[in-house]
Amino acid sequence: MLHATGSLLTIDVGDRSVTTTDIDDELAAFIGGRGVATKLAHDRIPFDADPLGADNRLYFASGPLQQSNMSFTGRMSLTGLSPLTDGLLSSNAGGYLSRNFVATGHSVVEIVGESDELLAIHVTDEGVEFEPVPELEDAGVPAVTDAMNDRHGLESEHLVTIGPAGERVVRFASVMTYDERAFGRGGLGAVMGAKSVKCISFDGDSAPALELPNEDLHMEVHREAATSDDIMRRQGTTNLTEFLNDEFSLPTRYYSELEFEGAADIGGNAVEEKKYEKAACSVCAFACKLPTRDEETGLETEGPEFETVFSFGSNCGVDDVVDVMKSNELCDRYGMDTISCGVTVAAYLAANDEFGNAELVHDLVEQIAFREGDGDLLAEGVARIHDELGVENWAIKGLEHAAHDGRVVQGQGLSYAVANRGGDHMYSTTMIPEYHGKIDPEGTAGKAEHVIRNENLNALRDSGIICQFGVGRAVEDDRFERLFDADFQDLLSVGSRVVELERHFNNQRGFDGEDDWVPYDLPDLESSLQEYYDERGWNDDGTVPADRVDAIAGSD
Amino acid sequence: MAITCDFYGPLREAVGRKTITHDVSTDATVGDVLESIAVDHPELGELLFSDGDLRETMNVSVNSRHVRLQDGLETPVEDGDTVRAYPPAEGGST
Repeated sequence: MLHATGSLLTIDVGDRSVTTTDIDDELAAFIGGRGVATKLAHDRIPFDADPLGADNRLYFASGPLQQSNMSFTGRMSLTGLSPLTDGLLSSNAGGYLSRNFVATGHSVVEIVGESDELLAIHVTDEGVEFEPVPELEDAGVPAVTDAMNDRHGLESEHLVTIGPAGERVVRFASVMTYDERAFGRGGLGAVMGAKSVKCISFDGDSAPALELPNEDLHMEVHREAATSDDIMRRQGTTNLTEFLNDEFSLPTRYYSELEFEGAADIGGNAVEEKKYEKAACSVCAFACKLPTRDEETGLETEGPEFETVFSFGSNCGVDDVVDVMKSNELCDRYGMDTISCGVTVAAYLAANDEFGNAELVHDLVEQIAFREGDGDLLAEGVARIHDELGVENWAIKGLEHAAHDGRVVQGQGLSYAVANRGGDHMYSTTMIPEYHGKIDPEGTAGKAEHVIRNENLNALRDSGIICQFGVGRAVEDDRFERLFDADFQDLLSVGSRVVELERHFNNQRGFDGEDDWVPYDLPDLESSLQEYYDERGWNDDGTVPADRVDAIAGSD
Repeated sequence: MAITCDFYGPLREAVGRKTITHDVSTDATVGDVLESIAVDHPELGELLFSDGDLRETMNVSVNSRHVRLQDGLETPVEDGDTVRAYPPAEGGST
């Protein structure tokens, strides 16, 4: 089975020590990316660690395909204990970082400890340097890039950076790369901020030796990506907006309605009108990114993508695409997840009857980033503040609910309930076969097997690492086998072990079936949860039996 | 009888507008409706159909229920029904 190669580099920012560890066995068992990072995090982060304390660890990880020239592989994984969900969580970002990361010679870089001053860390194939950067306190993400470029010639494709939101431990702070690409969900930017690490650069010329099987397939995928006439290449995910609004749901005004009257004004065509050039991630010919500009105001950003159209558009009652672009730009600059931030702002608007007030939305985003005024409360996220606001809790396991509406695509609703990452649509993507009529969107009965398959497949996707937009579109089951030189069921079993280790870690922190919940009624949910636990081989209370984890640990 | 048809993404571009209200005979199926519209808009037919079947990557619903969960392109339509045709729906990142 193909897997990443390269060592684990551990950087303790407390005592500024650096160690290198051979992790060949872990890589062989977990491929790379989210898989190997989850294995390491499970074994190395204390189960009782404070997410914002020195004992928490961050894992930047690449997969084997980040050494290829295949489209849909310009991504990286980041894993740690989330200050938002209080559980183990992985996030995933595109951009141009992955090839520069691999060139350092490491497959995983682990950050532990807590610095007493704000740091930039420079990782190369020759070692690690620590640069105190107190002058960059509160700097926005582009300003950090400018500083690193001026001082070291490092461009944005070498950098991961936090904004002021990360420094001020906003619980949904993101880690940014390439200025506008985000390890968005779960607040790992706050973990980096708590360690006083402002940015990390990766550079080198020492990619580990790796023989990739069936490279002819890489070119085939690349050619398909380059010649596709898929509308995503023009409108990104925003092409979903109007038909989901008409046919399924576009959650509106803090989820109180399923349909937004202004969908066409913030959807795919409106965004495409603002797009001024094509953009991609490294080596990807699909090029679905969305650099946008408003000529009247001069505002430039990348996006919004569909989830941001929802979070800062329909869910805030905002129907002007430029206003949504502005929220997107602010979140990128200050380093915050646009879903969690937008949903939290929408909760505030609901509490204060201010839907549609775009000026207030933008003010709140700034206040959250700097924890000023009401922003200090909102920076805690919906799960922790909904009682104080007097609104419903639209967060699952602490993570704000995504746009894909489990009330309407109810297998996706089941998926949200069981996901270790909570209210995140990318964890199982069960909504896709429901949108496509492959399974009935109504009900949860009999859908546990779909959720499990998709969870396992997506854990494999994030370990490999392949973009979601490549999976199903260009990389289907038989191509997974050729890419990884392995039986597909064996590959899915890797994904299953990843999900199980996440679950086991979270069980040790007190999570069980009581946390498998959604903020709405779903038919047959209780029996579907039992079906899910049974098929996973877990206990009736949703916890992982110890002997199953021992078996995974035996893969060391 | 009159059938309202909504188109999305490239399918809308093929027919030039979001909504077409189309008159068909009383025993028509959703396939009949779309094939009839495709006579005036051949690109729609190319996008939607392959060898007379709905392409695997394309989606059609009648009254907000996917035709794959009904009788496919043979799903009957009635006066006042709404047909929607949309491209693949993928989730995505922020």
